[in-house]
Amino acid sequence: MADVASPRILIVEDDPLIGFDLAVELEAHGFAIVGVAPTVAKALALFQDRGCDVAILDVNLGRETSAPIARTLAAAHVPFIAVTGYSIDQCPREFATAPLLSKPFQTARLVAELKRQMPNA
Amino acid sequence: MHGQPGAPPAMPEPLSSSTYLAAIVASSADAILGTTRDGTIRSWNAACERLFGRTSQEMIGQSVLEIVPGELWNEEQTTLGRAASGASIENYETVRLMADGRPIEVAITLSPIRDAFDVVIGVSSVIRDIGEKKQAERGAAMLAAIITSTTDGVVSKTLDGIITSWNKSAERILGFTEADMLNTSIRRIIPADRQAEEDRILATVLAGDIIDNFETVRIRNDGTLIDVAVTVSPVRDASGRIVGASKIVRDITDKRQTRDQLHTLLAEVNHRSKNLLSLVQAIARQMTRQGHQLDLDRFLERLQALAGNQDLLIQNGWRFIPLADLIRSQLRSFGDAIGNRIRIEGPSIELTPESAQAIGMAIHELATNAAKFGALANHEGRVDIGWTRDDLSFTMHWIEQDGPQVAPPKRRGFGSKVISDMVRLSLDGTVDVLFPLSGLRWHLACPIGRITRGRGNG
Repeated sequence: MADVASPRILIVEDDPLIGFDLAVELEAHGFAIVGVAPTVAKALALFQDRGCDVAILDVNLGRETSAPIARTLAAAHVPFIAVTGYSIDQCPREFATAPLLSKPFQTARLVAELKRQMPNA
Repeated sequence: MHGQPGAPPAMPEPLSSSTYLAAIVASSADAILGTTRDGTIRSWNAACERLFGRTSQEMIGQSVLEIVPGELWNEEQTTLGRAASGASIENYETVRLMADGRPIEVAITLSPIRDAFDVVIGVSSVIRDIGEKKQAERGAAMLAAIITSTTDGVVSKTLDGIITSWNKSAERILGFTEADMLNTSIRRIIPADRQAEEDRILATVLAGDIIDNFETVRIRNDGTLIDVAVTVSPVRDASGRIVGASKIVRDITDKRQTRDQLHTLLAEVNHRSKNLLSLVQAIARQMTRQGHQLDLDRFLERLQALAGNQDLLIQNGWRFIPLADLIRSQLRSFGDAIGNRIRIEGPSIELTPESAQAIGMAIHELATNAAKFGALANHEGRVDIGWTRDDLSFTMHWIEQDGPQVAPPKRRGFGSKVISDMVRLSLDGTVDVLFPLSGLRWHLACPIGRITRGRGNG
């Protein structure tokens, strides 16, 4: 389980079970989960209240995309990883330079990518 | 007249002026006939014989009405009467009959014939066959009508791109009127970054080739861009020389939109199908955590529960699922028990697709558990499912009674996690699961805005 020194991860994912699964998987790998946000508004509120070291953004959130979150994170110099069912050319330009994991993916790949993105890695 | 003695040798007698005129009439290419004032034919030249197919022997002495269709007799008598009273009537277009009764279109010039005392003694008619000219006029009128009424824009231009015609539909599609566009360059309606297209179009036309349904963008008079398909063909003069181009412009906004929608839909299908694979992966992963063997039957039941949700979403245009429908769908296998042992009660509420999935999965897990160990495992047990809402919050409960005695599960498996952790996390709510002896009690409370886009969304 996460301790004080655990990297703090914000998960943005609109599918409840996938979000839950990601949270469980990452906690098992020693990360601390700041929260699972299914909408842009919820994600921005969570980020403002609690911050995070790295964020995982599902690009498509049903009726909106997570592009506004990507802009906020970029402005705050917080790294993020995009996960999506879209092909890369279907993603908003905010994700052009972010590492992208295509759904479905294995936890090991996400963990490796998170470690690469850690500020003090 | 006789020659005088001693006079110079006789010259050939000159033609009298009347004989001379008669010769002109006889040899004229135009059909010329003369009648008395009352319309009896007195002369009928060779051109009349050719035009009507009747000889002068046949016709002289007959009424001119012989060559007039019955329905025009009144008109002919009036016209003849006017000429007989001294009026000249020029190029009056009417119909006459040939020997076989076929009508021909003619233009007739009627003139009074006067004697030496200036008295009108008859009427001359010069008749020209205008059938071909009329045919050509009708053909042109037909083409003009087609071009006027077609829904495609039809434009013609010179080889320099100067517009020479601009029909109504071109006006409708592009907004510019004929008056706006005549004698100006077609380049006005071509966006700056597409000007090279016109060079290519003109070069193709000059080579005698056709550009067929070329899809491009043009500028409307209000400055907006419109998707069009253009077909451009060379226009030739009578000698076959290319003198310009005709251009058919079709508005393909609808087609472009349909294509864009299809593209968006395919991207959506891509996204959703991969999301579903992720979801299946998440279920399998959560069911097999800490080295548990995958219970294949349970796994497949869960996939079926997801598929049921998807059906409801499709029925509602992928926008929402009514909560009562969601519960009934997930409890479908209990059939008759619904409304009897299973009570479902609460206000109408439209769940977002995401919250419907969370609540739907929780209901599925609760029902499966009830059927195995709870109130639906015997014949007496009852389940009370209810919910309330106000402007801020939503609460829901699942309460079992009269089933076998229950105890908390020894291990928190996938089902336990779904009805508590997953629901709590995804709906930002609180979940209580209690196991009194009377039966399982499940309570959910969360902000109303997390489950519906209806009134009171936060």
